[in-house]
Amino acid sequence: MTAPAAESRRAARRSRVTSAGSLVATAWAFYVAVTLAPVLAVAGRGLARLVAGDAEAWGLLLPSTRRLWLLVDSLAASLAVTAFTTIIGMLAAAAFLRRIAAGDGAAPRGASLLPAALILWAITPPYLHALVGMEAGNALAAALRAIGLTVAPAQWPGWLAAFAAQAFALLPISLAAASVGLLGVGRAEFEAGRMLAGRGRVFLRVVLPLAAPATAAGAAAVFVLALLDHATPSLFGRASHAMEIVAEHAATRLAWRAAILALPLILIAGLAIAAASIAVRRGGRALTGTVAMRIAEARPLGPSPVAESLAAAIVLGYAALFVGLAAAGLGLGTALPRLIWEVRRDLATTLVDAVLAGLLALGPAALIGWHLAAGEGRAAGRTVVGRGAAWVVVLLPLAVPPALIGVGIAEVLADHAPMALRTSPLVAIWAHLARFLPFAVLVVHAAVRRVDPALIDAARLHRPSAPARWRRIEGPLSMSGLVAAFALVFCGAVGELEATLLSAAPGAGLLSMRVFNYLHYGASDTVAALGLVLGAIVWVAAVTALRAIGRRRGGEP
Amino acid sequence: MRKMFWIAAVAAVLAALLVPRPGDEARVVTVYTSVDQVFSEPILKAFEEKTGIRVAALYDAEAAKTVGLVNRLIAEKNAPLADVFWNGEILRTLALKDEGVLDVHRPPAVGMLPPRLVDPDGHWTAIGGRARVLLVNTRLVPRDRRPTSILELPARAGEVAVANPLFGSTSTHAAALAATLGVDRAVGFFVALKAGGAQVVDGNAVVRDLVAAGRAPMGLTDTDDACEAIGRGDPVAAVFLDQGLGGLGTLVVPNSVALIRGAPHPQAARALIDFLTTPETEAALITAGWIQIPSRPTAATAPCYGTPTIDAMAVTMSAIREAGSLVGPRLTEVFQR
Repeated sequence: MTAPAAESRRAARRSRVTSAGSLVATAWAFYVAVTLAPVLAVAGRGLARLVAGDAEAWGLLLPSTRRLWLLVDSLAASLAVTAFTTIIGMLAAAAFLRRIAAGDGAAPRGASLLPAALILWAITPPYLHALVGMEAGNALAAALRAIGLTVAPAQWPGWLAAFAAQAFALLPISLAAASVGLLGVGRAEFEAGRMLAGRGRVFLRVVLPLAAPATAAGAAAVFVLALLDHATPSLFGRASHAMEIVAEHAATRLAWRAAILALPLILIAGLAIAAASIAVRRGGRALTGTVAMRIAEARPLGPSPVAESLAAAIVLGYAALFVGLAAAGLGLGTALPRLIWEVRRDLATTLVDAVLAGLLALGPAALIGWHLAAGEGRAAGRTVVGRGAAWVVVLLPLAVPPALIGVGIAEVLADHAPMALRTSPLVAIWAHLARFLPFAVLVVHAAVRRVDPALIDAARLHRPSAPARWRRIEGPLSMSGLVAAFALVFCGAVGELEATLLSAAPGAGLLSMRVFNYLHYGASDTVAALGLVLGAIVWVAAVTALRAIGRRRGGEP
Repeated sequence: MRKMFWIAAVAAVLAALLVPRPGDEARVVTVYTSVDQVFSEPILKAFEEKTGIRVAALYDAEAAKTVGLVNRLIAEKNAPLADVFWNGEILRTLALKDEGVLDVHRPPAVGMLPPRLVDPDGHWTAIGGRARVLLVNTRLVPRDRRPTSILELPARAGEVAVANPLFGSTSTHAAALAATLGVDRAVGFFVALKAGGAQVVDGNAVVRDLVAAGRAPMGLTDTDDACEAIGRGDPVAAVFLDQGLGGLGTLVVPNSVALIRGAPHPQAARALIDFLTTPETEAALITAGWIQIPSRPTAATAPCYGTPTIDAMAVTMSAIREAGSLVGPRLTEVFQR
């Protein structure tokens, strides 16, 4: 090989590396611009006032008695939801996993159904659970009145209704996290203990500590989502600190005031996410093989069969209630097609926004997901600080109240966007991406981590160009993750409400906004039908994605 | 990959259809409205069908109600998106006039309306409204224990639910009380309610639900919310307070409609305002249950109330506006800080 030819080849390789690096940098820039820039823009104004010693700003940061009480109340409510979902999730997970493992065959059918059911449950928009609660409350009151109990309440107390709606909306997250935690505990690890101590004691001393990282991650997710959610409590007339952000912005139209009010929530949520991340990194156990294989092997140990059965009954009872009421919605007969026709424009906008949000998320999610995973695989290539900073950037948007994201986007658009953009129904896509792009990155990253590094290293021996490497190796290997990321962003966008409500353009009718507005008048056939349509969209999308992923993995989830 | 391509292609085509084209602009009108979507949307659709002009509506959020939209209009004053503001109450429309957000337009219906419902300068026009009523739970508050005057409520504050007086029609009510009783007495009324244990909640619909569920024996709300509870068979009754000779009267909160200064689509905006102020639109809103107190003779009857004859609070819009600007900041100190 001549020297000039070798030099030329080296230059071409350097150029390819540079272009791949540019692509990754662009993905990061896009990520920051979409998820963090609007929030940083408004938060920056608030912080500048704080730094300047503005008394009004400090007055907002140091809460009055009312606001302090509201913060404490919101924290207590979120912790109650977290405690309920974590306990019920752990008990029910133990019951379900053992039941499935006890079935016949090496790869029981339940092993595929359980994760699928949890995914369908988790992607159902939270206010549909509020609707189910309202319907159930109405039905219960009507039944009690029918048997002569005229003192039956017309509604549940607001705090109880909000708790139930949030708890049952978030329960699948805890259930899934507990399942992962339990599946990570080998049978040998607790069977030895069972020779010496009782079931409950072994569970507490052996199983629970080993399953704790995954369970803690689930608990942190539930806590953060409950704390930052203002829509569900407001449906039941319950004040929350997250709602205070919306009210402050509406009352003053000063985004910096909303940002300062949001700071305590961002700090608390950030700490929860950080703690969960550290717990998972230090003690998390990676699951190998398929879920079905793990379930068949694991037969996890729970603390008490009675408590586990009770928890499983609560989960199944609620699921049956939800499915039953959804099926009752189908009984609306001819009203359903008429309603769908009436909301066809909203339906089209919702679907287009969600598809575009999903597609726009794919590129950045793939590039950033691979970039993060590559950094972990070759630790020497990047500093600990650099990796930490990258993860902070990825996770920070998850700690921001959706209301503040909406306020930030609205402010940036009002200040900088041309009229055509401000009035476009497609503005909502930004809100959707801001909410769900971080989740898409995490999904792709998780999928990439499942890829055997030996496969990639072997392929790299051929030194393909960056595009070729992506097209032939990394793309196909991460296709399951990309499908999951697209489905997640799509489903999230279809149901997203809190950021969209504050940033959507006039006339940008979205189904989620319509359902939420109607829900303020209570449950009705109209809202039930619209809720069913919303639910059907996300369920069909999720099932399609699960089937696609299953086919790629040879039929196993 | 091929599937992805087709999904992207279909989404791109649909997105292109959704992006407004230059020719569409003249046939669009943007309205910000605090009238509940279930009531306002059918009216706006009727306008679309009649004129062919597409309506882009922005509805309010329950907790912030009118205030959120009004502050958005003020923030957008120099580059407005909205053409028309259709307000479920009047106080904030008066504030918008003072802020210079509104433009002059006198719809043809002006001649049919009482003078107090028409701005002498032409910046807004009001049509029939809702009345403020005391909703009582009939199981908890027997007929002989029901208050007849709003001034009796502070003494029974522990039984009362009220919406946050910084927002919505409750803020108009606070301003009207301040105009009638004086600012200090009006502020004292709300302070006494709060100090006495009244439940201060996010909106009138919440007040309605609390009373209907028996978690508050009674609460101040609007006739449309009260009608919702009456219609679904809840054990409630609506009491028109301060009736009879010498009484304060019941506050009637009219709807108000206004043209935005610098509206991007002024012609379509004027057409919409003309439509919203017609007797036919008012009749439709009465029949639907949004308006209970008509502003002019009509054959339409409101569900729950028929054609109520009430003694309305004798207070002018300018007095409400003036008192509202004084009472608002003081109530903010009490309820928001």
